[in-house]
Parts: sequence; C-alpha cells; structure tokens
Amino acid sequence: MNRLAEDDPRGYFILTMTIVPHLLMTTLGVQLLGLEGKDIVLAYAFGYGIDLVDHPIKLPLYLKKNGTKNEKHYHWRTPLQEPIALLWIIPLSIYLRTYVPALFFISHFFLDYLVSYDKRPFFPFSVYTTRGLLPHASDNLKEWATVAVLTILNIGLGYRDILNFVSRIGPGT
Amino acid sequence: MKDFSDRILGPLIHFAHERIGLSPNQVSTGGFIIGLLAAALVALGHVLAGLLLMALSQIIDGVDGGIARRYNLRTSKGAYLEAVYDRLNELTMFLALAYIGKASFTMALLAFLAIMLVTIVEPKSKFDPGAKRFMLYFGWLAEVAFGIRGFELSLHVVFFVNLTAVAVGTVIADYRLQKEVDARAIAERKQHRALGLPLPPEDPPSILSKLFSWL
Repeated sequence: MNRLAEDDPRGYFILTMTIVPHLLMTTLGVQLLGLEGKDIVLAYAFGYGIDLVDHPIKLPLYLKKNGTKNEKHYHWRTPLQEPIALLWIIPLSIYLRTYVPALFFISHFFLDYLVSYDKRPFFPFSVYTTRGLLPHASDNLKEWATVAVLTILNIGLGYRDILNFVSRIGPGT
Repeated sequence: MKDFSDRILGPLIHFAHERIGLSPNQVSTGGFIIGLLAAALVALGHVLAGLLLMALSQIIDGVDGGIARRYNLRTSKGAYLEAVYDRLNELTMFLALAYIGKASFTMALLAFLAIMLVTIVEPKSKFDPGAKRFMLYFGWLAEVAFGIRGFELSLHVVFFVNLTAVAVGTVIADYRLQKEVDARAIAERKQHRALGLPLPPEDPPSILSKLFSWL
C-alpha cells in the first residue's frame, strides 16, 4: 500500500484521498458545526459525493486510451472539483441560503490539493497546472497525518455520542 | 437551430438588410431599445403588453444574427454588442418583474447571475441551453392558467438551468481538452509502433486496472 502510494500518486489518490480523509473531514465538519437535516446531505454531497460524480466522467476516455491497462498519471479530474467550480457552487449556496455547499466543497479540494498529482484549478479559463500544496513533501506522510489528525478530532468531538451509544447497547440496558 | 430560425425569419432578414439597408448592429440596437421599452411596460404594470413587445425584441434579435450570417457580416464587435444588449434586456426585464412584485429581487438577480456565468463559460464550452427570457412566457402562462407565481417559478428554472449549464460547460471544455491530449498520445504510440521504435514501459497494474481486467 505504501509502495503503491509512493510510486503511483494516481492509485494512491483513488484508494485513499478520495475515500477516507474526505469522509473524515466531512464528518468532522458536520460535528463541529452541529449540522442537521438537509445540511448534512449537502455537506456529504459537496464534501465527498462530488468525487463519485466527477471521476467516472473521464472513464470512457481512459478506457479508450488505455483499455484496462494502468496509466499512472492520467488526469482523472474535471473542473467539477477544482476551485473554478465555486463559480456555480457559491450562487447555489446563496440560493439555498446555506454556506454548507461552498464550505464543504472548499474542504474537499483543500484535501485534494494536499496530494501532488497535476491539477488545473482555473480551467477552462487558464491551463495553469499545479501539483498543489507542499508538493515536495511525501504524499504518504501528508495522507497519514491528515487521517490521524481527523480521526482524533472526530473521536474527540464525538466522544460523548460514542459513550451514549455504547451505554445504550451495553449489557446494563 | 440557427439555420431553422434563419429560414423562418428569411423574409424579415431580406427586408431589413436589402430593402431598408440596416446593418446587423443597427438591428441589434433597435431590438435592444424595444427590449428596454418592454421592461418599462412591465414595470408600469402592463405585463402582457410588455411580454408582446419582448417577443418582438426577440424576433429582431434573431434577425440581426440572420443578416450577419446570410450576408457574411459577422464581426466580433457585433457578437459582443449582441451579448451586452441581450444581458441588459434580461436584467431590466427581471428587475421590472421584481419591481411589480411578480418575482423576488433575489431570484431576479440570481437568475441574471447564472445567465452571466453561462455567457462567460460559453465561449470555452460552446454550450448554452438558451433558457433565458424565453422562460418568462411559460411563467406568464402558469400564472394565467394556474394562478401561481409563474414568473417567480420561471426565474427559478432560469437559475437552475443556467447554473447547471455552467457546471456542464466547464466539464465539456475539459473533456474536449482531454480528448485532444489522449488523441495525440495515441497517435504518438501508433507512430512509434510503425517506426519500430521501443514503446515506453507500461505502468504496473493498479488495483483498479486489475479489477477492470477481472470484470
């Protein structure tokens, strides 16, 4: 897993950065802000779900080019999860009268920008490409540090809820 | 779509350019002024008359483009002018509806913002759903037929359709770029093979590629 992560940023990204840290970050945000109802749905949609919509879009192109062979540095992202998407997410947030879509989307691309694969933040207005934040630091290290911090914060914040849950299902009940 | 409208408006296009000698920009300006008058009528409470005048303004809007296409008078200045006139007409009409209480100011401004965003992205994506002032006729119909706040509803539709078009438009532009990049890489690979040159080593299979092979 670690070797794959170091050798193959793309595989690393697909396996971990998409799933665990985004879920942890979104859960943390939901807890911190005490979100309820439709705000929780919006938080998970823009903090995590946007990945599920975005990556499959390029699958037909990838399969056409590579078939089932692996290409390490294929550009899987579309502007749907680049900062340029704030162009439509901010008006949507205003329309919905909630800051949740914009805030959780920013948290999403912040995590993506921790990993050092190529990103085009302003496409289609600019083809400027960046490898994100701290590109010389190990992706693996950034990944594990993020997961560790987010896990601790999630458990810390949800401690009382976890205890309540355990006491409800415990032998005393 | 443009060919179709040019055919329908053929006699008007011919009349405006060959009989009266109007240039596309002059026709655009005429349509813009009529659009402003339409908004003024709506703001004064004459909604139906305003909508009829807006329809006339939109027909003229089709004529200017038709003249430019048929007589090869297309210029970037003309396209820019038309876009500015159209946006101003939309803004004034939406604000007029908000002014008489047929829609909220928030929705008028949000719908206009979404249209502006499409205008910015469209040159890159070549994708514009066209749901703008036209939706207001449906709003009027809904108001008359069902007694609901049809104009407000139509502005919601304008907002959503155009905002979706912005997101989709950026994806279309990106998809087009990726297609080009991939086509170049595929051609390069073919050329290497034809020349008998060694191909770059393949990347080791990832979990996903293994999964796809297995499927």
